Amino acid sequence: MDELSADSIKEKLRLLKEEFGVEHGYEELQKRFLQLQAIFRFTLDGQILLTKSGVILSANPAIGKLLGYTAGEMLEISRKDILDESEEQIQEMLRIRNEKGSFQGEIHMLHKSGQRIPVEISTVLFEIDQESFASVTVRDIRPRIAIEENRKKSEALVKLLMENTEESFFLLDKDLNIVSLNKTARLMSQRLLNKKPEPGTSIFELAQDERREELKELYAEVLCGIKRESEITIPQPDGGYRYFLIKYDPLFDEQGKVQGVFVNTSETTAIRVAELAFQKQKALFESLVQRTTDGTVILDTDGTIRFANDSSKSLLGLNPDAVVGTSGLDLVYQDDLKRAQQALADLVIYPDKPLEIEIRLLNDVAKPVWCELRAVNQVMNPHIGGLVVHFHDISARKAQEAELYESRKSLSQLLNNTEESFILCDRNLKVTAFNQAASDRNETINNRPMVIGESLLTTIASYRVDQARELARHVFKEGKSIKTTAHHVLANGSSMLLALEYSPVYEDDGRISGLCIIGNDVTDIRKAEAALLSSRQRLMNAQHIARLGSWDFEIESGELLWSDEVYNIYGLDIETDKPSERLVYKLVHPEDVTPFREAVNAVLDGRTDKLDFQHRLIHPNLKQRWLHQRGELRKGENGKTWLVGTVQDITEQKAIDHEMELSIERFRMVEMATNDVIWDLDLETDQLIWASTIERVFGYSSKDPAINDMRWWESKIHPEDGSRTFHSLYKHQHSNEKIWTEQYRFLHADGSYRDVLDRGYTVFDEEGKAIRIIGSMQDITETINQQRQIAEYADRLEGMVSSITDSFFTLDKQWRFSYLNPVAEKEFSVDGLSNHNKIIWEAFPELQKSELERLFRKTITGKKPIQFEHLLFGKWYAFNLYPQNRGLSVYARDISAKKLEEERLRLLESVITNTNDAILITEAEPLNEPGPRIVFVNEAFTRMTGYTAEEVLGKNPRILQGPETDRKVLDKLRNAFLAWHPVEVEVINYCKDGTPFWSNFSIVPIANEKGWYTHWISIQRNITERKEAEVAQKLLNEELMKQNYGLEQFSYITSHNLRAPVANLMSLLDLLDRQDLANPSNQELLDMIDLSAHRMDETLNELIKVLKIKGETNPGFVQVCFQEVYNRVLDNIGALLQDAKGIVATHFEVPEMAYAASHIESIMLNMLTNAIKYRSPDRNLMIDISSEAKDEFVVLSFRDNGLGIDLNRYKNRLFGMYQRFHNNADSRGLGLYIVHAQVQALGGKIEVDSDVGVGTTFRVYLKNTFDARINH
Amino acid sequence: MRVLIIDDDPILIMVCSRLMNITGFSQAVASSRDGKEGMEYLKTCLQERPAELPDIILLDINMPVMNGWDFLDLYRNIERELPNKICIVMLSSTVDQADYDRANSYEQVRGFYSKPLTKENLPEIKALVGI
Repeated sequence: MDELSADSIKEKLRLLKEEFGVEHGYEELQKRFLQLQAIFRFTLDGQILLTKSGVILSANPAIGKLLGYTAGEMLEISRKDILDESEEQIQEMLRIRNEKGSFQGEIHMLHKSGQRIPVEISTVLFEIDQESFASVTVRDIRPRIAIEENRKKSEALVKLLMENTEESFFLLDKDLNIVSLNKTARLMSQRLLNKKPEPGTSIFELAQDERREELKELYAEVLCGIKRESEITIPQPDGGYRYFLIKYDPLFDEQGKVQGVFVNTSETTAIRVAELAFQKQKALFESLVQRTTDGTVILDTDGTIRFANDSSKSLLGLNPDAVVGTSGLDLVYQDDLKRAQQALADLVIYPDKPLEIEIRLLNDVAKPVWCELRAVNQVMNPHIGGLVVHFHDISARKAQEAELYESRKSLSQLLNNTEESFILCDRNLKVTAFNQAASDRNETINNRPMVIGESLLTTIASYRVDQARELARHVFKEGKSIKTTAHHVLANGSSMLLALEYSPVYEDDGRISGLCIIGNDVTDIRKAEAALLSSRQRLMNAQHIARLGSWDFEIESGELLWSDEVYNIYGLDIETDKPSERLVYKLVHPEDVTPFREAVNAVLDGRTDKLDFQHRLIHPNLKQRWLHQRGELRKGENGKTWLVGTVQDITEQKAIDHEMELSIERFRMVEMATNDVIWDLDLETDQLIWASTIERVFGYSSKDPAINDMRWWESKIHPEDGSRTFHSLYKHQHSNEKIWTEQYRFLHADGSYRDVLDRGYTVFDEEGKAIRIIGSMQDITETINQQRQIAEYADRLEGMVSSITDSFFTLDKQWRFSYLNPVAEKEFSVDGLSNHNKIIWEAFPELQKSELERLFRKTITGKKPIQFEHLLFGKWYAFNLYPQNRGLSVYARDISAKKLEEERLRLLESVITNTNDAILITEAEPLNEPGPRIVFVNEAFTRMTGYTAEEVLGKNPRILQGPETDRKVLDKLRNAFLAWHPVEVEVINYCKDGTPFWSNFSIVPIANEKGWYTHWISIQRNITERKEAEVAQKLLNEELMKQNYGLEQFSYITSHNLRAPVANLMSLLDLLDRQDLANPSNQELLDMIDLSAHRMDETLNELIKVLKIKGETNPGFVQVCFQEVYNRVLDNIGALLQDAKGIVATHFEVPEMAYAASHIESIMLNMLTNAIKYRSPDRNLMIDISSEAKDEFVVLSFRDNGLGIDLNRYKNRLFGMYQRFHNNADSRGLGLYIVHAQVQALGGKIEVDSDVGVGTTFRVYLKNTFDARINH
Repeated sequence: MRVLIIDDDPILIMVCSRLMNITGFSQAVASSRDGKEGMEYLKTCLQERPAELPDIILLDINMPVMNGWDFLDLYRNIERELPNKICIVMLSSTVDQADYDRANSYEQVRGFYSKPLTKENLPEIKALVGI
């Protein structure tokens, strides 16, 4: 190997420079220099120039960085220091290069630290002045390897997940052909649909015929980017159904276009079956109870809160009672109000679309709290009738997100371009972030590391502090970037020239939050430029290898220059095609033209300082390619401005990236579609990697490094499940089984244990040793809870059904008894043997072709419940038939007793109808207006009252009452009604035609089986005849009483008025001295005996008179003139009247009447005698006698001004015999009695008015109805 | 023994007082023509000559102005003021059972005799006094 001395190379380079200078002048040279500098700056690939023998002449920063050497160090090492291959391999490589002039391949290089780095190299030999040089382009292929590994891994995961789940997956392209599907999908299709789907066939081939149209519409929507869900029901041969929930998720490419569909099917039969059973409770249960830790409110469609659960109190501190009735929007933080209103409107307008939104709600102290809201429209749900909103506090998460956002923002700035050093400071110039380059450089320059949180001013070299402070102040003030250079003398005596750029860091809201210092070591560039200038050829080669072209564009003239490789990349001919801006845009994919122009303009306008744009290229002959344009503005010393840049073909890279993205996207989709948490356990290191879903499912941050340890997982397992789970995993590792499955309880970050189903899939190395387990962990708490609930519900239902006292059984579609409750077992058995699983028509052949069979079948075909009563096995049953998906439910109640009762009632009814007593039934109430309604009357009622049933039904019985109806009786009735007592009354009622009749009512309250009174039954009888008879009887009785009174009076006379004088006579005679008759005391006694005997004679005469009046039925009627009779009486008592100094005035308005003359004379005599006898001693007697006509009577009145009678005391005895009211000597008590007897005997009466000390008036009513007798 | 006869029949009063004088039953027989007079007599005695209050009252039923029943009702009101209870004996010609029953309902009435009063009745009446 011939070695070149460093001096000779330098000489050649100088010559080369001179040569260029001659040919193109300084300007050209400057242009080239810039071009080369750009290449060096922008290529990420390492570039090394070395002699044929392997001495490194020049190396760019990228290779130095890759291998860990500084630019200076790179020049001091040789090829063998950086190659990590065996000597044979190196020789083979060199041989190929030397023979063919170039070599390309993948080898390993050695980092300064000794680390092995896989790289792709291409090396080219070229000659300058018969000296051979080698140019080597080195590309770090570690990212590619990592990507490939990741891709393989994630594909394995996807595959694993897809194969090891009970959910089926289909991945469809945008033509809806199957791209891939998992085992479950295959099995399900085969079992349920009897179809064998294969990749490449259309998904529609799987569809049930009747669903095809529906599915087409559905997929059309999904292809428009809308997520859909549908549920299908597949009938089973056993008559049952299986339910499946299918989710259709559109898959988007990076432009947001739908490129396919992800179809995920899971069976929901178990849940659906239970759901059907307790749908009612479930609606509320699910919405309200299931998520107890969530706040739950129910809103009306206008946002008014109708209900808030207790959790809303713990979350927001709001009293549920206080918020009910207020608007839910009042709780929303002002800044989020518009979004909340929109969301509410959407929820109301699109009721099928659940709402998920993150907004701030105000708590009890009006502080905004970040909450995640999930809302469903349950307005049509009759049990809820509103919008159900669940929410929970996500402030913590939000805070984390904000932090993450901050760190990402900083990070992205940092990692933009690793060749440059970055330092980020806050406004106080405290270092908040820096990149490796900055750290390295600082160490090189200042010999101290950078520390986050330290002041920038203490970090940088002391002699630059003032400058830095001044620059920072300027940046903060002006908000503009400032460029400067800084020259450093390093410890080893070499110098370093840094190009520094101080830029402001902006917040979202435009505030300057900090400072970014970008530093570029321009020392190396200046060194390298010399080396690169040495060879145009080398440049071309390097560009070609890297598929990297360079270009420069003079802005003012529009002149564009391309390196040769640009022609290759664009697919143009270097001879015929001239570089122009127009040509470039013509080649750019039409969709990318505008953004590309915009990116270029942004640089030209100074909005950004670097061009970095990827676009597609329409190659005239070749396939579509991806190009990466990078560039920046450079100012020449003559004031001209160039846009200088490179273009690189990145098609291959793009393809890998794209594939990777797709793969990651699929992984993400699967991750999203399932709630499984994927984990990856490295069995050698016990390192455990979790998918990010762990955060969503179990609440642990996937970024927390603590979770990446096997021991962490162990610590989260429920102590009771721990040893079993570890043991089974341990056992699994040492078996050859591929699949590990375990169910255990796993601690959620919220402190609760979740039931999980964990499935692991072991990966073995070539020697069959288990090296990794990849698994998926599924939270099945809800499923288990649901199963538990379903089981409990089933128990409850079973208990309910078996405890009912009526028969209940179900029949399946084959008419087999699928369930019989204990009563049904008893009633519907044959010879005591259960009919379970027997076909009803075989168990009871007599039912075949019966009406019952017809109705059973009708229920199933009509799909509507039917109720009827039917005679079966000698008993009457009330049947309720309910159609079910699986057959028929039959509820049969034995109503034989009821039927018997009904029969009896029917008999009773016929009796009631035919009886002669009127029967009227009313409802029990109301007793007040409008009164109880009549619900029944029989024919007898119609006969009695004239009212037909139609006329009175619905009215109340008061229509029968009328003016003569006795109110007292009605009150009695009412009181009985109020007390629910039976009552019997007699009252005058009225027929329809107004005729009154006496009615006997017997009214009884009727109670139902519970003892509540529901009706009154009244039985009525017309008792008018009886009543009339009673009146006659009463009259008779009165006459009898009168007669009796007469008799009593008579006995009184005998006892008193006759016995007393006789007793006196006897006593007097007893006292008589019979021995000595001449005894003077005898004389007195004899006088008394004489008196007594006369008295007795008078009494006897009067008695005879009385008897005569009483016996006198026709005393001889004549026309009697009152004045004449008065005159005759006056003849008799004239002397008496004169003694009493009485004056009599007569005024006979009716002068005469037909009457018994002796009676009128007796009346006048007695009345006048009485008036004289009982005259007042204080005044002269005045008597007034008059006659007048009144009705059928002639009234004779006698008015005096005598003593008067105390009527309160004596009225009842006034006309009795021998009643005396004055101790008047003449009074014997017979006069008024005789007058009364006489008047009464001829149908009249006597009235008396009297005031003691004022006078008395007697009015004698003489009946005037005996005219006929006169003629007679 | 002091006796008050209340009766509207002067013959009966005369006969009774003679009978009582002759038999030695009483030498102090007063009389009133009706209940009202009887009551006034009792009140006068009570106020002016309590010693002359009768031991026995013979009471008729049927009298003008105030009959025997009304007298009894008034007597009940003044009975408490009397130093000694008076033995009241009904003397009537009634044959009505109702009158007997009514008389029985007065605890003040200790006997009931039909007219005429005879010598044989007197020892019995004497026995009633002081019960």
